[in-house]
Amino acid sequence: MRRSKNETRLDVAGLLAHGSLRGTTPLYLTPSSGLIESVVLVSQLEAIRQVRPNTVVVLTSEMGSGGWLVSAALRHAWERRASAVVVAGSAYASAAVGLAERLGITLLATDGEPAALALALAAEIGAALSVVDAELARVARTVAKDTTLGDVLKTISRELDGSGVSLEHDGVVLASAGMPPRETDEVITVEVGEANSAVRFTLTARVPTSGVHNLRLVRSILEVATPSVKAAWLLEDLLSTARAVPTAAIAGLDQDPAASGAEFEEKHRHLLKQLGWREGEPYVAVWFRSGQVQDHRPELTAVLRLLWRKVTVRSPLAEVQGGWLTLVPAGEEDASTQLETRIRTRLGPALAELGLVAGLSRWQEDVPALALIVREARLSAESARSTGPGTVLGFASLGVVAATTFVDMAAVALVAELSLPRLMTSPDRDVIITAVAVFLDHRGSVSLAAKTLNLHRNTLQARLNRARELGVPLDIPSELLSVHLIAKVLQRASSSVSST
Amino acid sequence: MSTILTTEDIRNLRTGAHFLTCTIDPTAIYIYAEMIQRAMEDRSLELITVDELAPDDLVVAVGMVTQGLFIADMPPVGDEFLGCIRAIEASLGRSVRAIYSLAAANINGIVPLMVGLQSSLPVIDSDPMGRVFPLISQTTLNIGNVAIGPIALMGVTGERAVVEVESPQRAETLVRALVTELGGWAATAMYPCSAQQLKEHGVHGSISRMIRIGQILDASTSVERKLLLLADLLGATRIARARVSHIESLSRPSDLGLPAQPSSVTLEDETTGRIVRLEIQNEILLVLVDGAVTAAVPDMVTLLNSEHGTVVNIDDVQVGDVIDIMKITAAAQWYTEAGLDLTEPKAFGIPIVHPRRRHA
Repeated sequence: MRRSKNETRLDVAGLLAHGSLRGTTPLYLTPSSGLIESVVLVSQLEAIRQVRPNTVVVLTSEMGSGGWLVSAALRHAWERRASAVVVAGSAYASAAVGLAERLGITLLATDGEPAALALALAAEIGAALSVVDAELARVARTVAKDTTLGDVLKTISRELDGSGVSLEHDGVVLASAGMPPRETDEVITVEVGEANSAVRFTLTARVPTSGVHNLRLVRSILEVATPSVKAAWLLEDLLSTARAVPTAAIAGLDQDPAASGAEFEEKHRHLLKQLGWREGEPYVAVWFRSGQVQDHRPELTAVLRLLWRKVTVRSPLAEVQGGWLTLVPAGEEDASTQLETRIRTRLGPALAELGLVAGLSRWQEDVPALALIVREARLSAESARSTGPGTVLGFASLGVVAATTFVDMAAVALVAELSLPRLMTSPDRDVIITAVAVFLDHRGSVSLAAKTLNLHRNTLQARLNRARELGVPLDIPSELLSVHLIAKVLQRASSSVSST
Repeated sequence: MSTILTTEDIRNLRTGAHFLTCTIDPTAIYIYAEMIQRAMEDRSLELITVDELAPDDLVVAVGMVTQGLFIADMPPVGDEFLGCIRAIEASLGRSVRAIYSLAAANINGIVPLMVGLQSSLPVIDSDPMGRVFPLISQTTLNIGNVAIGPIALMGVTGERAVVEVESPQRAETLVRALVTELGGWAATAMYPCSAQQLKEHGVHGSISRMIRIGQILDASTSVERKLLLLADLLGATRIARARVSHIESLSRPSDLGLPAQPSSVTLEDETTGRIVRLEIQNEILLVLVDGAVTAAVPDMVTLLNSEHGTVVNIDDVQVGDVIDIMKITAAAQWYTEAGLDLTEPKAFGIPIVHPRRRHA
């Protein structure tokens, strides 16, 4: 049967009842039994100034048992947060009982040889420690049998009586087992070093404060389990990399953006088949990338793979140029919608924390070529960047609007500066630009635009006339697209200025 | 400047000598004070400062050395000290010009006045302890490398010895052995030195300080006022006002060579709950408050009746008494390395380092 974590704890009450302190006379016992972690036999009062907390201080018989000595020993022991003071004989200690009570430190008297008592106590502490060592060795053997990260974490949690155990990176929980965390938990963390030191991981246990766990033992358990955590994780990552080869291949093979889906399929039909892709099977592609333009962090692959398991374990995640790609089978449109929702709810906060965004391809009944859905997902991911880290964007909700996200806003703004100088320097610029943008959004309908802007028709008309005065070519149909684009870009620029 | 002492001064001196030791048995102080006062009816007693002597004048310390016997139990015949002084003079071939106290408290604080009256020698307002210590080697003269010998001893039976010895520790052993053989106490004259040596290595103003303490304590003022005046005069501080809760037996053995009647008193400060412990061997050596060293020899610790401001004899302390525990800093020499080596608790068999040394 498995030993409970508190059996290795020695305390004054326990050792008085059935341990090496049994033969002593308690002159004063503190209401709560003190923990015992070590013992010292002191023959010099000053030596007590160096003892560690939770130590039993045994005064040698040579030191005598004069009341002043017991008093001074109690004081030093109290200052060092010792568990108890043991003195030889009890004749002169009686007057010190009041002081023991006042300081709240256990005072015991022994009729036997104090040195013998200290030796017996030391043996008992040593035995308890060896129990700890045996326990740790057993834990190490048990977790070593697990091959998956999930199993390793579950085993650790079980060893800690179901306490929550998690592997974390930068505050993001990558994998966990056991009880969900609570506010009051005692958090114990050990570093899980990695060859690539750019990314730091921690193995964290959350044990209830009210519990009986010896926190040092909990830490030791985490430490002995760490190699198993690393091994299982590396193994899984290795297997995932192997499984992700077919996915990575699609991104790798699709190097010709001009090639149509059919051409791509035709060209690579044989290879795709060899890689295990079956024709006519519907997939949704998911592309992850950094929220920054030029910032790909391959070291996040392992992190992202663990996170991705929260969405699905079947589709491997491949590290590809400019991001990460996965293809998820989606037999029907609902499955695609659910996937997007799952990614958003389960990964959104973590993606935001890691500075990543995600883009998804559309679900289409006619099963487009894999290369096309990969392109869609990549486009969506790139578009998602403009909304900031943590964004999850489906191509279905994007459509042609995606085009605008690739417009060089700085260049468009420059065009506006140069070609519409009077508009740009006008004090009522923002009002006019909004009027123009909304007017064009409504295909030139003044009444609909006025309604949207909550303005009177004549007011809007007046603003549009003002725009014409300032040089905006509202009446030349071939220039309207450009005007619309400029209006949109300026609108976005002014809103980003006002929001910062 | 020399002073002619009055009987009033002697009464005050008696109180002061008692205050500075808080002795177990003050009877001898009282007996001597009374004898001195009687003798002063037809003689005058001159107290001088060491500066009034020529630098190479021979001066000698006089004092009682006891070994387990109260002097009141076997009173002196009266010529013992004169015999000692004559023996020193004979040994050195020079006349003694003045005498000084071996200690600045207890019986040895007052004995030299009687000797002064008997011998017509002036008494110097200086001493080699600035308080009282149980060992004759525990002197500031010893710190200053002033020779303790030759030492003259004379007991109640008229037997006399002169010990020629250099090492103060060795002198201690020899004198103790002789005192036992002489009947339990002996009059002694020791540390014969020049006025210059005493000036350089002694503690000064000892007798006048005891008189001043007596004036304060014997005045009919409030206890609080007395404590204030003592604080002013001596830098005395009150460690606690506490009620005696426990007295431990006087039978505990002490190390050989230490004249001692070790005992302990435990008190409780009723306002703060602090537990005060006094360790006693002849005098109070150690005060622990909640187990922490608050005063330790060479600090002087004395007890005052909280109601009357009178000195409390350790012997008279009873469970239930409320006592003011006073701490008085000793002469500066005692807090030097050499001073602490001679007098910190370790010298009394108590393995505690004096707090001043720890913080040095």
